[in-house]
Amino acid sequence: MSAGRIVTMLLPAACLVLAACGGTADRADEPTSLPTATLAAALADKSELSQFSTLVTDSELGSVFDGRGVYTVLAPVDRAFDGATLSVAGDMGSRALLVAALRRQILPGYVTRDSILSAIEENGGKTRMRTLGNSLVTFTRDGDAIRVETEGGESALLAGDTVTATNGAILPVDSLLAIERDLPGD
Amino acid sequence: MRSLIASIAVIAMASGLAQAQPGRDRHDPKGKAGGMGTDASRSADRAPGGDRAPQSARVARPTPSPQERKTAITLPPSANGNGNGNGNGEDKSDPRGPANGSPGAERADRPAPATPPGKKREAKRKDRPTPKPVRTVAKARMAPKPSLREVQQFRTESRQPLRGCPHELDRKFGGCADAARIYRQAKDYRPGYFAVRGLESAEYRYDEGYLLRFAGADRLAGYVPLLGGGLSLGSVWPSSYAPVSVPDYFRNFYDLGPDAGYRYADDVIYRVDPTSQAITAVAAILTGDQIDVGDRLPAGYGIYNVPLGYRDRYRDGSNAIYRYADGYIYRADPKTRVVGAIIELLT
Repeated sequence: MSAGRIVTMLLPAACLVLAACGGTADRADEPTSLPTATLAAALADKSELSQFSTLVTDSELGSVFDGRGVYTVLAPVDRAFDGATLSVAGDMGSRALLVAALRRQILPGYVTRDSILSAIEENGGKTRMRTLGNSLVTFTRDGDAIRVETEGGESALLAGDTVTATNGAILPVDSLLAIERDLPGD
Repeated sequence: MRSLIASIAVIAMASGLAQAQPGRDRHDPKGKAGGMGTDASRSADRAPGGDRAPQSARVARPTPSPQERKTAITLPPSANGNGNGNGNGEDKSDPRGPANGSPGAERADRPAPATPPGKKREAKRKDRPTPKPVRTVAKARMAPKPSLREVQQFRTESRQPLRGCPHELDRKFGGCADAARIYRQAKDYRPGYFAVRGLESAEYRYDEGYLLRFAGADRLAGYVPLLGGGLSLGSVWPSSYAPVSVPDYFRNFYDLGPDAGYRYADDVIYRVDPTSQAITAVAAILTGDQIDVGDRLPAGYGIYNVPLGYRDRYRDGSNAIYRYADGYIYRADPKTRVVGAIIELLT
């Protein structure tokens, strides 16, 4: 057996073995530096998410986003709140409704735009993710954007890059999604 | 040329060895945890601390030192061949999966058992090797053996609606005697809206942070306090809500401390003041999904969601996918979506 033939045989084998080390999933969205802020801190730090951050505080869920559990939050950007009247401070009746809505916008684990895109492609155009509100959200492509839709039919486009935190991620969205625009009070 | 051949051979052998380590999985003497095979994609399933080819392109990040355990189970024969043929199998089953609170429906998409359920479960226990820490160095700090049954029992803990008149309704209506008036003013939100399971068969309405159970339109039969409502910060934990001891794994993962310092209801873990029993914080919200080895992943786990810090170690590949929920990573077959191992993440 000639040396050239041996090289020809070994090269593909070596490449295959080495390639397998990397796995198949897309790694493009991995953060280039380790996050240092928790979800709660990251929310508070994002100026375009200030209204949603206030809602999280009012809902008394801040400790969840400061804790050990890992979550991904579908967070409406401030412009999505235009015209909404969402004040629950001190109103237990409205707060429980807000919390219920927020739970349907919290996903378990660390979910990024790229992992959603990969799943959409692998699953024939759409993929679903469960929420912490015992419901599902559906992700699809909408042109170059990603659309997310709740079981109730509310939908939004992902708006902006994934915000990474030590205990999860934030996916900004361009509408309120499950959050009711006018929470019924007393 | 000779040196070139030798270099290539060394690279191939070294990489092959790196791949071969997981194949000798200490948790699966057969080297086929979950029947996932032994090919190169097992790199995603490499034991922590095991040999690993350098990945120079990756961002340097501290390697977590999870106290992980894998529970490797021989899959039931019926677990094979029930996939949906497209390599993902997602979302083809009951869209709510096991999240609807009905045990029968929860498991409707499971592979048909090869043996009667009771015997199958028994066989599972026998086949299940004693979980061992991936890194023996961590053994001394391992939490007590997790009992999946304990976790599931904890998650399905159901409560009866409380009796009486909640303070807020008493204040608003001057008591609960005029139940017809309360019924008329209460809002038509169902228990499912609040992710409260197991109450859909009765008539409930909502007011003042409580689900109100009515027996007809003129009798208030009970109430359920809700997260953010009757169970908001500062509220005293209802005395008739007996404490539930969470599994040790949850206690450690969520850093809950002694039993007196937390309470659980409806997939939510609360921190309470041990003395006053006042709720001080929400420690965690759980999916409540009950996923065991041998089960198919429920609907809604189509997206790779492994937490940062574990994504290098548990990365989707052609022979295994990984999904996270409630402090666990589940390893599943990409075709059948049958869970082959449950991995704890304790640091």
